[in-house]
Amino acid sequence: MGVPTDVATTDYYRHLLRNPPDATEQGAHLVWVRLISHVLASVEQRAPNFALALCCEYKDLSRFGSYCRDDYEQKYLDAVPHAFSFVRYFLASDEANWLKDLVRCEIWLNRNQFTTKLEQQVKWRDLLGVKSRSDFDYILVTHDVTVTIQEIVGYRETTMSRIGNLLWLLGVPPIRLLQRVNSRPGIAIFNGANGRESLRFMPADE
Amino acid sequence: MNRPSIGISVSDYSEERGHSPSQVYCQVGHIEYGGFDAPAHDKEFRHALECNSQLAVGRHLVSTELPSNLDIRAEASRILDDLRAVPARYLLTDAEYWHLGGRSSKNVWVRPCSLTPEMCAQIIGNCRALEQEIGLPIWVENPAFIEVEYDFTVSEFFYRLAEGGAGLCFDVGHFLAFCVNESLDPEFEFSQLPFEAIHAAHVAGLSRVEYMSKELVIDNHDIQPPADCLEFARQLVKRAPNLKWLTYEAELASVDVQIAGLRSIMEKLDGRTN
Repeated sequence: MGVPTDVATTDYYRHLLRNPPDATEQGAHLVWVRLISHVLASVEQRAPNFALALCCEYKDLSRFGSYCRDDYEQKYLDAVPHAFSFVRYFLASDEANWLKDLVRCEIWLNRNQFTTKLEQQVKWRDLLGVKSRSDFDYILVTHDVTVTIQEIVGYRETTMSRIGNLLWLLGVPPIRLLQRVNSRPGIAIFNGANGRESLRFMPADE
Repeated sequence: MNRPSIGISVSDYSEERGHSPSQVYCQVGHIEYGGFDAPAHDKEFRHALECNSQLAVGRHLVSTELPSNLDIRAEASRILDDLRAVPARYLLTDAEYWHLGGRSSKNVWVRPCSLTPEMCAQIIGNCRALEQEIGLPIWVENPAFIEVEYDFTVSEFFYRLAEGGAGLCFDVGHFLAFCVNESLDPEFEFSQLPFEAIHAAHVAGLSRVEYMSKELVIDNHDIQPPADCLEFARQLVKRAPNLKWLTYEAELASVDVQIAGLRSIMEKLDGRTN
């Protein structure tokens, strides 16, 4: 199957992405929601803590509207994973730097779990801005991303977010983490040993 | 002021997390083990003592139902069995751990604790009886999940326990979360505590969450203690003359967080930070 090169201007998919339907149009809205769910699932698979933090920040599905209008269709043409397309969009947006730190570090930390293909890892490396020294990879960050990851992991453990993922079907309101981070430039350093990749933070002022 | 021993919590070893290094265990005076397995059987507990043989040991019991009608001799026997070959200096537990359908770790569950005069009486009686059987102090901790009845607050609950002769473990994070979530003044509530009865304290991280448009605070053992927790810990050390053990509860945290959290506690207590 060849890679698509264009989407017809009259295509329903294009129309839907460029004009997210109002929730009162239940049928069309559900189609749109299902498109977004693929994006979110793809991101969550590669960066579960980022996906959770993003949803806590966004609070509303409509926040995905600008991604849909601007980049979703291009993803189809580029034939890249949803996560790649969304992260490319997100890193170029004016979203908070701590969230960008988080997604860059978490995806690189988990890269071997979702792709072992060198070609794909090179694409991710370029997108995420991963740099290398002789014995380790690193990413320039604006805050201590390891603390952020710990806070989110702890939040998953101490609220129902990990164990109660069916509660939303019962109309239970979400419990959102209100993340507060302190700006602190530094580098996130990746080390692989015994098949396990680790991440640590070194502040620029030390 | 006499600084209490600063310790760190230890829980059941997990392959996924691995061991904390000796760097953590060499800078603390004690560990407080709160795992479900018996401490002598737990890899992380043994590892901590191999790193630092001078560590004192506290046991955070996780399945003794202090507010329940206990068979004291059977319960004491079970606790002593759990402590076999472990030189524990103290025991403590909060009132929210219960078991259901058996006594293994799989049957332990957490339920909200009701603060009532009847509950106080039950806890006091059980603590005294168990202490006599076991020969170690058992202190009562203010729990994380609480339901208030009879206009009780945590400080009144503690006061009544102390009046009845129970020793206490003051969990700073649980206390602050309760005050914030119930819209109480933490300074006032803190001033009402029975300080002489407090022998141990816990400090941990707290996260802010939003639920139904209201900001609430919950425990988070994965992160460093926030500034307000540290300040209440400092005040507690000044005002509680019998406080001997202060434990940083961070058994789930990364090593970097454990080290940074311990440092922030020590600096606060030594007056090196405001």
